[in-house]
Amino acid sequence: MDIFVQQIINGLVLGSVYALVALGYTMVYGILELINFAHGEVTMIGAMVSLTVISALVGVGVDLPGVVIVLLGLLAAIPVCMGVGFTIERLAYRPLRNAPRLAPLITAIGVSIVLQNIAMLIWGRQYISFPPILPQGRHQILGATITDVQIAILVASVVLMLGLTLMVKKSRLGRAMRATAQSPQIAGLMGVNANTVISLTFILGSALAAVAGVMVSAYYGLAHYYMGFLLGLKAFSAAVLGGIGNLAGAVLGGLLLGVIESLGAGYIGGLTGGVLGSNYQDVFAFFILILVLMFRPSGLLGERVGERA
Amino acid sequence: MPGTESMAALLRVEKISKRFGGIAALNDVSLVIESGEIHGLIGPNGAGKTTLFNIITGLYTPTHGNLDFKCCSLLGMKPHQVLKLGIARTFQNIRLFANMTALENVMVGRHARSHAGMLGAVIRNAATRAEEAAIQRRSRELLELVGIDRHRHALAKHLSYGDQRRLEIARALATDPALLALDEPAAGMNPTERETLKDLIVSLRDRLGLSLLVIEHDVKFIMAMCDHISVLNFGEKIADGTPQQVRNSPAVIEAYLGAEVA
Amino acid sequence: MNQKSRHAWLVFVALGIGLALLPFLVDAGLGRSWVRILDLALLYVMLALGLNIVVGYAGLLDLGYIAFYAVGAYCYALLASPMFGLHLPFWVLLPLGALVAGLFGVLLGTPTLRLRGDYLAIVTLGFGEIIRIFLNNLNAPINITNGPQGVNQIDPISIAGLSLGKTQVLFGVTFSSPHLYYYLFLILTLVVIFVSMRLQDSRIGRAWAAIREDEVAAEAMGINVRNIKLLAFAMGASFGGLAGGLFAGFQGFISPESFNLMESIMILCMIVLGGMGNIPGVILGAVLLTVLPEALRYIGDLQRAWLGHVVIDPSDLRMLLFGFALILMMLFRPAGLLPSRQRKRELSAAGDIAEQEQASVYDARH
Repeated sequence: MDIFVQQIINGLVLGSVYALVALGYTMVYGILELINFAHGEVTMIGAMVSLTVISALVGVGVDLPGVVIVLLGLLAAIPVCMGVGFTIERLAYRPLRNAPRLAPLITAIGVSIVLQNIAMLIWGRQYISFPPILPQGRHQILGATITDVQIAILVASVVLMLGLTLMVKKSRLGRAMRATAQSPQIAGLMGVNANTVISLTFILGSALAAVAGVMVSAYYGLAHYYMGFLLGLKAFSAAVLGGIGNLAGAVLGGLLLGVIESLGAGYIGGLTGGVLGSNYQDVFAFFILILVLMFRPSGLLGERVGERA
Repeated sequence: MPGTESMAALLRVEKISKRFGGIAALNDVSLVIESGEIHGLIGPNGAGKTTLFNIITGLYTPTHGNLDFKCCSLLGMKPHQVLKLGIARTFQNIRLFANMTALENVMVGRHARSHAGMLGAVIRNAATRAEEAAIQRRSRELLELVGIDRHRHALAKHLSYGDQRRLEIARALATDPALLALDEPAAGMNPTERETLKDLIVSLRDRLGLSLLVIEHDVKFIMAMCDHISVLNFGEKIADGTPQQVRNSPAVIEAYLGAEVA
Repeated sequence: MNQKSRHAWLVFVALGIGLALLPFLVDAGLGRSWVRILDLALLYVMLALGLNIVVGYAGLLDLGYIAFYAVGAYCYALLASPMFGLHLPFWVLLPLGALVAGLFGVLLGTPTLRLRGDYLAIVTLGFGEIIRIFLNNLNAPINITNGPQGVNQIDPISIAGLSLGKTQVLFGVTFSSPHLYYYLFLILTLVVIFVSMRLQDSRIGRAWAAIREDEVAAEAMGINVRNIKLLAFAMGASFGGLAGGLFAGFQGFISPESFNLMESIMILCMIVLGGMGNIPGVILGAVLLTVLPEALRYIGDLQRAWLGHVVIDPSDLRMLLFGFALILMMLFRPAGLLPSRQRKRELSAAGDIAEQEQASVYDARH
């Protein structure tokens, strides 16, 4: 039983990171119907930049609490990621808006490769470790353990998701985003500048990615120039699982994928009598994804694409 | 109308109902289309005409009721199976293969009436070559019939609106249907084009012996051409008969006047 | 024979001679390693043409295509290596690999039939990863794939007792192993091209194009969408399986790492970059993207020549430049380097309604 609770906790923590990244995918998709393949790389850049700042601050022996140092790292990462997201859209996607559908997907892959390799040139091929400056408290809950870092990730994710929902529902920008997603044409007639909205969407998604990047490197204690690839892949799967284009779907998909993965890793060995080990964790995640889409082809919360004749 | 029961019933729609969620789009609709007739289906917006179309052509499954075409029930059949039995259709919002040429569009219509498979495609034996030539020939004939053969190498999406509608008819005809269902074929056409279209529809019946089911908003257009008209309103059939009978039906007058007042 | 067809014949003959002499020219000019790259380029042409059937013809975005390459490769490797002590001949193995991969195509295609666009992409991607993960882990409890170590000492392809793995002297000319493989791959590539061309211009090819354009209308025109889609998956997969078998025999060693997601993406890039749906475009894309990363290895020499010393390790810079090349090529030729006839018309057409409508969507910004 305690293993079960433990895996649920781990899954929710991991899942909320997926959800933050998935939100970036889904917002862009909602407006442009484009898979922003480079979004995982933006997350990686966020992790790398924040780690650089954090390590530098620790290195010069700044006398500040660990949490403050991490927040400073995050504050440095967010604008960098926003800039990267903005630039990607301007240079690689905007010129191709009227091009055949797969063209922007290829530039997105190109951007992804470029960002990865720039990161490799700057930070090298080795893993960078997260300095042990965060509180290491552990708490017992229902027979399982939850760490301070895990609590922080959960709380921060919930706050960000609520903030985002509020923004999309209530603010002027949110309204403009929803309008543009419905029909850029009509939104334009109503005085919404579609380009500005699209830029802001990328910037917003990139800021979330920066936070997710810091979370993931704090959680695993590591960062690597290649980390964005798998993370992005998982997050994109999460967005699709929930129903791409749907914000609540991205959150649900992220959490679900995280929990499924954790439970899968925890139980798959026992369930199959040791035939399949925890290295099948990813199979499990993809398998659930495929199963869900077979029965709900537009994802869990996706709008049913009714056949209209 | 019991008098219309006859030996020549081609399609028999029996007590069809269709619900979307809680909303009833069609309620107990029955009608009979006889061999060789032009059957009009009219009604105000949202009356359920296109829903009925989609049920007849296999795109939707009805909640209740039955459909008999020639020999067999159409229930549970997929659109491609319905087509194979001999019901072809056009779409209200034109669904051509936009990036294929007009000729290729019509050639796709021959798919269900030809057989070449992978092997034939690769070795291109005599039978396959003959079949391809026949497909080409027939497709050209049909393009000529609807009057757009000169545009055969243009992409479908580059054709004018009226030509796109004609191309859709040619593509449907290529499937050798017994019943051709046209969903608002005259929408967006000018009066001259409408006149030509009407002549085409009548000649399809007279020369090819086709039966037609036509949805149309333009009451004048449909009255002038149909042998039999069914009127839908709010998912129910409110009248059924010759154009003359329908024109004089109090229910129809009320539905249309009511719709106009609202 | 009129003037025009004689002209076409001359081009054909010249092309034939050129292709026949190519490995010798490359060997003399660039070195033996480039003949191997040439061989790989031919394998990628086969793969790209296979994926082109699924994505280019039928419009089904498949991001897990490399799985079929893997199936073909493992099929060959397991039946022609010391792994199980089996050494079946290549003329059994290659068709078998294509067949098994084709079956996998149907197997993996079936659950995706209702999915559209990006949903299909993610599911195929998932399948690709699942197959790779299985290959990686099926060394326990029973060792089937030898796990991450991969399969070693795979038999080279040998035709009528003539092993392509060794240097051979034929008709007084010395052919090294990469040369010999070149000719085998070239012949099979030509077969694949021929089959691709014939399929495109056929009843089946039209049905593929129809479901790519509008699935509902295609079904309403009597096309059994399910079967036609599965046919595309199976056909594309069997090309991949064939190429996989050839790869296993050629390399002599395979491991799951050769079949990762990035490979699937590369093949997709090849067809989009070259010109989706257009056979010459796809071939160009495949050759270009195989050769480009190799050519970029020479940046080290360039740096030495221009700057006097190597500033940045060329292997670090190589993929960066490759990424930039992808972006730039797409920005300047969004329909691909050699667009298909449809796409060319799509982009050049002035004053057509659908396109104006499309454009006005984004005019909102002005």
